[in-house]
Amino acid sequence: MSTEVSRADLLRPLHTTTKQYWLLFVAALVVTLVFVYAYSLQLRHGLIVTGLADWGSGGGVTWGIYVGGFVWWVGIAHGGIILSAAVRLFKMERYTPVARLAELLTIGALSMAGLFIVIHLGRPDRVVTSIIAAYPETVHTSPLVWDVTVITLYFVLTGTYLLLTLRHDIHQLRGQLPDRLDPVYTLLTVGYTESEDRVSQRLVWWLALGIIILAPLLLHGGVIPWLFALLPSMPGWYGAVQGPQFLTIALTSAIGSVLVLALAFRKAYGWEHIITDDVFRGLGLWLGLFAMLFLWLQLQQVITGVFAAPIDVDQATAAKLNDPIYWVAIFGVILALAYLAAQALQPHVFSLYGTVAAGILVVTATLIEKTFFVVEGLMYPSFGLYASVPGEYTPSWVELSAVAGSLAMVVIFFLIVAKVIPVVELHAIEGEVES
Amino acid sequence: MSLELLPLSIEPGTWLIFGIVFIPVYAVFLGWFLGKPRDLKVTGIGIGYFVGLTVALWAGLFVLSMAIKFAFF
Repeated sequence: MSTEVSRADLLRPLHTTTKQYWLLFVAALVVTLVFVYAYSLQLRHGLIVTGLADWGSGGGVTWGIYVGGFVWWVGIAHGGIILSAAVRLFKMERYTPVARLAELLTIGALSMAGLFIVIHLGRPDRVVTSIIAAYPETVHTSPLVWDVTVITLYFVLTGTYLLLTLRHDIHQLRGQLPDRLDPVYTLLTVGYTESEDRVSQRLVWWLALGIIILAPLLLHGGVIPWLFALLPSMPGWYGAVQGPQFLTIALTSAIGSVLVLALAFRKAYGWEHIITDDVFRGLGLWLGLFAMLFLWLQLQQVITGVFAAPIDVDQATAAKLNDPIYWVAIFGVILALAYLAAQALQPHVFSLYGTVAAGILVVTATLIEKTFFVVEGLMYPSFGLYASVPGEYTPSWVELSAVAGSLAMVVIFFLIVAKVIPVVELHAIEGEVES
Repeated sequence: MSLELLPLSIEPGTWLIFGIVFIPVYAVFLGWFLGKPRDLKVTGIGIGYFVGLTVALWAGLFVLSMAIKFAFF
C-alpha cells in the first residue's frame, strides 16, 4: 500500500459526506434540541422539574443523575490520556491510530462534564463570577473548587497536546485539505516551521507525562472521588477506597468509549487497514483487566460493609445490596468481563462487535453504578438523619434528556471535527516523525 | 483539619493543589524550558496554547452563563 493511498484514506472524512452522516447529524441535533428545551424548562421553573428533593422536608436526595453523569463523563475523558500515554510514553505503537480520537473524546467528554455541573446549578449565570472571584479563598478548603482546578488543567493540557501534535500533520497534508477551511489551517499552523518537529515531540512527551500523573491519580483517582470520600456523614461514600474505585470506573468507561469510537470510524470510512483488529483485541484485554479491578474493589467495599461493620456502614451496604439497580450494574460488568476473558483465553472467540458490545455494556453499567452510588450514599447518611422524611429518587425526563443530550452533543462534536482535521495521526500510517 | 504552624494555619487544599496537583504542571514547564533540543519560540507557542485555552475555556463559559442570565434571569 503506497503512502499516497493511505493519505487519501486518512482524509476521506474531510472529502466525503454520506447520507448516513447527515442522518446521524440530524438525529443527534434533534436529541440535543430536546435537551435544550428540557433545560429551558428547568431554567424557567427551577430544579423542581427534576426528581431531586430537599432533605429534611422533601425527602429524597439532592444529587442524582446530574452528578452521576458528571462523574461518568470525567471517567470517559480519561480515554484520551490512557491512549496518548500508551503511545508516547510506553511506545505501544499499536494504539497510535486511535490516539487522536481518544484525545478528542477527552475534550468533548470534559466539556460535557462541565455542562452537567452547570445544569445542576440553580443559578448557572453566577458560576464563573462566583468561582473565579472566590478562588483565592476557596481553593484552600473546597473539594468542589479542587475539582474545577483539576478539570481545567486536564482540559487545557490535553488541548495543548492536541494543538501541538496537529501542527505537523496539518502542514504535511495541507495540499490535500479542503480549501474552504484554509483560514482554520493557517491558524492551527501559525508560526510552524519543519524544524520545530523535534522540539514539539519533546514538548508533547512532557505533556503526556504530566497528564498521566494528573488525570488518573489526581483527577478521577483524586479530586473527583474526594467530593464523596471526604464526607464521613455518608458511610456509603466515605473512605480511602473511593480513589482507586473511581479510577477503575474511569479506566473501564474510557476504554469502552474508545472502542465505540474506533468501530464507528473504522466502519464509516473503511479504515479496516488503519484501525485494525489488533487495536480492538488489545483494548479488549485492557478493558477486561480494568473491569476485573473494578469488581475487585467493589468486593473490598462489600466485605468490609457486611462482615462486622459499624451500624451506619452496615445499613448503607445492606441498602446497596438489596437494590436491584446495583446488581444490574455489577452483572453488566461481570458479563462484559466474562466475554472479554473468554476472548483472551481463546483468541478465536474474538469478535469485533462482541468487544465493542462489551465496551458499551461497561459504559452503561458505569453510569448506572455511579448514579446509584451518589444517590444511595445520600439516602443512607449516618444516624439515619432523614429516616423521618423518607423519599425516593427517580430521574425525571428532564434529567434523562440531559444524558441523551450530552451523548448527542459529543456525536455532533465528532461529526464536525472529523470534517475539519484528520482524526488519525499521520505517523500512525507513515511512521514516527524524526526525533 | 488544618496544619497549625504558628502563626499560620495551612488548610489541606493549599498543599494539595499547589504542592501535589500542580506537580505535573511544574514538571511540564520545567521539562519544556530545561530540556533539549530547546527552542523558545516553539515553547512559547506551547505556553500560548496553554494560557489561551485556559482563558478561552472560562471566557466561553462566562459567555454561556451571561446568555442564560439575559434569557432567563
